[in-house]
Amino acid sequence: MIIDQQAVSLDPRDPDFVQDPYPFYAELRDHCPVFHWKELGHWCFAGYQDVSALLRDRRFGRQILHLATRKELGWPEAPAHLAPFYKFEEHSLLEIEPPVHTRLRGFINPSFLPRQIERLRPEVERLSHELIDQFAAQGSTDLIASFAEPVPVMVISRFLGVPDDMGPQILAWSHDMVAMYQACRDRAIEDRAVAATIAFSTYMRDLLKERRRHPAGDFLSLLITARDDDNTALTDDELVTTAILLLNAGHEATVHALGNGVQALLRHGSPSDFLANPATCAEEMLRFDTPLHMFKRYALEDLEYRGLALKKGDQVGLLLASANHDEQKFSSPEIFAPTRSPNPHVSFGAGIHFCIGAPLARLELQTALCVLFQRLPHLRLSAIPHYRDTWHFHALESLPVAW
Amino acid sequence: MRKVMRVAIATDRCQGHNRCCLVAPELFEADDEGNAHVHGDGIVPAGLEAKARLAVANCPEQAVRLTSG
Repeated sequence: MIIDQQAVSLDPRDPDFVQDPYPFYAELRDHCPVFHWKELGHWCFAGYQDVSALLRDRRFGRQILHLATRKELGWPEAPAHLAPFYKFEEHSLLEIEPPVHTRLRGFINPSFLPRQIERLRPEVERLSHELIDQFAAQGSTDLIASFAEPVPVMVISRFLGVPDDMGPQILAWSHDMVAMYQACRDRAIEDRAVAATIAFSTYMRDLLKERRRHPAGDFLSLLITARDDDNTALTDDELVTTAILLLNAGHEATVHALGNGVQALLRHGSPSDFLANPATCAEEMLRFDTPLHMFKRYALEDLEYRGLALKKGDQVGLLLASANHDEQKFSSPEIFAPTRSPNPHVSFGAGIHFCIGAPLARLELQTALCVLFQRLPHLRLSAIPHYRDTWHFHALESLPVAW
Repeated sequence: MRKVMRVAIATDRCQGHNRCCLVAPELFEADDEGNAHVHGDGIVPAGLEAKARLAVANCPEQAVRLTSG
């Protein structure tokens, strides 16, 4: 890493950085908490106060093309081969701003209320037991493949009403689609993402057709019949994007949170620490080894923030994982403290894009890991795991454990 | 004597993010649409002032208001 005043050069694929980015973040917070990241081509913020403030600052948003054309922003035309992906994103809650965001969010919000999500607890418990039954006698397993992946995928699939046996296919489509948000992407990644978008959309369109004919008591059926304040239903394109977004966002980060969390606990504590305080320990897992390391926003107007002049359309990168380790906000941030409270981490974001699935993610972490550690109280790491080369999706390739 | 602190929700601004209900469940609850409401008359019991301020700070729509006096 080269720091030259406010300019930073750091390859986001540098193996040292990918495997342990926290010392890099600490150096950035010390020397230049606001910096221009050469390889990413935009400004970044590493300190808690800035990250937290900017996530909430309504002069920034996830979308800019509703306010200015590509020409006005000086951007090149969108490459034709990416059209299907951008068409999908047009209706994605994650990529739009009010008033459209407000309308779309209204359709799914009632189903994600904490008390609705709470009703899934027995099912998450049952599923966790079923999965552990399959490997408990082996004495060792890769916990990512056998537990951290199937729990969230099957929970969100069953919630929507997607058959269990689609799990592996959903994982594959989802991985290909979210690769679009990686720091460095090439044409091969783009082509795979577009192919996955088309295949996933076709599958979802057919499933929605089926649910229209034969409604079931699931979320998809609910979404089809839902009406907004103007008595208008979601369009077919909105339905398809919303369903796919929930399936993808409903497991990606949760898989990483489970994997990273178990690793942190086994390295710095023990299963009994989790069982003694599941709620605070789950929050500390989310803080200590954050699943998603950066979230971006566009400046929606020409503006000034702490002396930094930004033009409409400029992107800023908010380093969530760095904020979560800011010593000005957290005492001894490098210590994994299972009972840390309060724990105002920003792993779920903040502001209007605060993770709508946070209650579900928390329920899954608390419930699935309670079952895991009750069933396997002597769980231990059997090798040092490695992170995938996808820097800001901070995710383990595998998690070899034994008991 | 301690001043009475009250919380209130501007219902025209609330979009049902439910941040207030999550950070201060003692003070707020959500209806079936997800819109937040204060418990009872909105008076903040002693000891919950920090949670009330947290709810104000976390509302993405600036719909949670605090009054005292």
